[in-house]
Amino acid sequence: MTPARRTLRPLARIAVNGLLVFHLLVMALVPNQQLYVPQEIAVPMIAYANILGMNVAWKFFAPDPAPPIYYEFEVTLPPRPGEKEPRRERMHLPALRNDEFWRQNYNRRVALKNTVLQHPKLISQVVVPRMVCTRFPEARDVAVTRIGVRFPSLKEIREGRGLNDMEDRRTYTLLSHEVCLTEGKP
Amino acid sequence: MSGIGTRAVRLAMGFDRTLADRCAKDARDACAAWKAFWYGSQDPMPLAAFRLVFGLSAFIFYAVRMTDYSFYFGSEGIVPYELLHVIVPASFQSVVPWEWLASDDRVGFALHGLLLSGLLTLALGWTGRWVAAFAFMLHMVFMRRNPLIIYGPDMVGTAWLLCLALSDTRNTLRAPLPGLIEAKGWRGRPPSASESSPWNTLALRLAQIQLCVVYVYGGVEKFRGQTWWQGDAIWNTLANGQLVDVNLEFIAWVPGLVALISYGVVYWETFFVALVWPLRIRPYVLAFGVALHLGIGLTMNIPYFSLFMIVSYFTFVPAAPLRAFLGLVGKGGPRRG
Repeated sequence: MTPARRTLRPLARIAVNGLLVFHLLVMALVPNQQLYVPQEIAVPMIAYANILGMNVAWKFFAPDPAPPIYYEFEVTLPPRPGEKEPRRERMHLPALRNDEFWRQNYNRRVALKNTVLQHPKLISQVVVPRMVCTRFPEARDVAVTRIGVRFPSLKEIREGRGLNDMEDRRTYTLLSHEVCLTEGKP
Repeated sequence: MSGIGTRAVRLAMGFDRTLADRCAKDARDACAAWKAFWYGSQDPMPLAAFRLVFGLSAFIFYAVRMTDYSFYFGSEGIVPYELLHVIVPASFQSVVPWEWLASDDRVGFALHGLLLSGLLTLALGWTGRWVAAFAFMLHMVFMRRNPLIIYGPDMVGTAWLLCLALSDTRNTLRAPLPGLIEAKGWRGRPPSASESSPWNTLALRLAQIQLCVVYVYGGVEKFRGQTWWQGDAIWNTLANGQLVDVNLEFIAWVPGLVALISYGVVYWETFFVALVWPLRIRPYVLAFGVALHLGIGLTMNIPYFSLFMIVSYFTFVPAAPLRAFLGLVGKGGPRRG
C-alpha cells in the first residue's frame, strides 16, 4: 500500500519555491567567478553560497591539468659541537614521494601547496612558521625555492626518453629567504 | 466600413482570447511540470542507496582525516585558530562563523568524532534529516576551520550532505540495529509517510541538478584549456608524478587514444546535462562516467573523489533495477504508483 504523501501548505509552498529558485541561481551562477552580476544581487548570493559551502568553481583539472610543482625549504642550522660549518637540511611541500601512510594525507598536502601557489603570502604566514620552523626549531635561515617539473611530451617518450628520469627536468626558482623568529615559533 | 471594423475587432478579441487561453494553459502546465519535477511522488530507493553508499564512504574518508587531526585543526597544527582570520580573505569568510566551534582542540576533536558518528548512523538508516543537517553543519565547521587543505572530495561531499540534510529515507535500506529482537534487517520496516515526502524528491532533484552543474562547469572550463583543446591533457595528468604512482609510458605509443580520451572527457562533461535525462541513453552515459571516474580514482590516487561522484549516479538510476538488484522487489518500501 502506498503511504499518504505529506503536502505543503500554500504559504510554505511559495516560500520553498522562492528559496528553491534562489538556491538554483546560486548553484548555477556562483561557480562562474568572472560573471558580472550587480553588487546588490551578488552580495546576498555570495553570502548564501559561503554559508552553505557552495562557492566552488568546479574546475577540476581545468582549464589545464596543473604541472607538478613542489616547494623546497633549505634550512640553515647552527653547526654541531666541534664543527665549523652550519648544517643544511631540506624539506619539501609536498614530499617528493608520498611519505604518508594514508594517501589522503598526502593529497591534502598537495592541496595545501595548490592553495599556497594561489596565495604566496601563505609561505611566510603559514608554511615556514608552522611547518618548517616547528620541524627545525634551531633554524636560522630558510631559503624557499619553487621546483617545477617538466615531464616529457608524448613525442619525447616515443623517442626514448624515460618518464621517471626527472632530475634534468626540474627548474628551481628561488622565491625568498625567511627566518624563524624564535626557536620553533613564528 | 463599420461592419468590417466590427468583424476585425471581434476577430482580434477572439485571437486575443485564444492566445490568452493558450498562455494560461501553458503557464498551468509549466506549474504542474515544475511541481511534479520537484515535489512529485518518487520511490525513495535511489536516494536511500545514495545515502547509504555516500554516508559510508564519507565516514571512512573523514575517519582518515581524523588520523592527522592535530596537524589540520589543532592549535599546534598548521593553522591555529588565531591565525585563521588573518590568512582567510574577508570575501571568503562566512557570516556564520562555523569554525568557532572547533577553536578549542578538545572540543573540535569531539565534534569531529560526532561528525563521524552522524555520517555512520545516517548511512545505516538509523537517523534521518536532523542528524544529516547536524552532520552538514559539523562538516562546514571543519571546512571553515582550515580552508587550506580542502580538495575535491570535500567540495563534492558538501553538496551531497546538503541534499541529504533535506531528505529522510531511514526506512529504506536500513541496517538492523544491534540488540533489536525484531530487527528485520535490510528488508526494512514498513514504509512511513516520510519516505514519500516532497522533501525527498526535492533532495533527489537538487543532487541531480548539482551533478549536472559540476560537469557543465568542468567541461566548459576544460574547453578553455590549451592542452584539452590539443588533446594531450590526459597525458599531462597521467605523467604527473605528484598524482600518479604507476608508470603509464605505454600510452605515449597510442597518441590517438590520448586525444580520444581527452576529447571524450570534455564533450561528455559538457553535454552530460543534456545526455543524462533521456532514459534510453542514460545507462550508457552513466556507464561512461563510472568508467571515467574509476580510471581517475585508480590511476590518480583520488579514490574518494571518484567514489563521491559515482555514488551520486544513484540519483539517476530508476528504482526498479535497484530493487531488483537488492532483491527487494515487492518486499520493502513504497512502490511508484
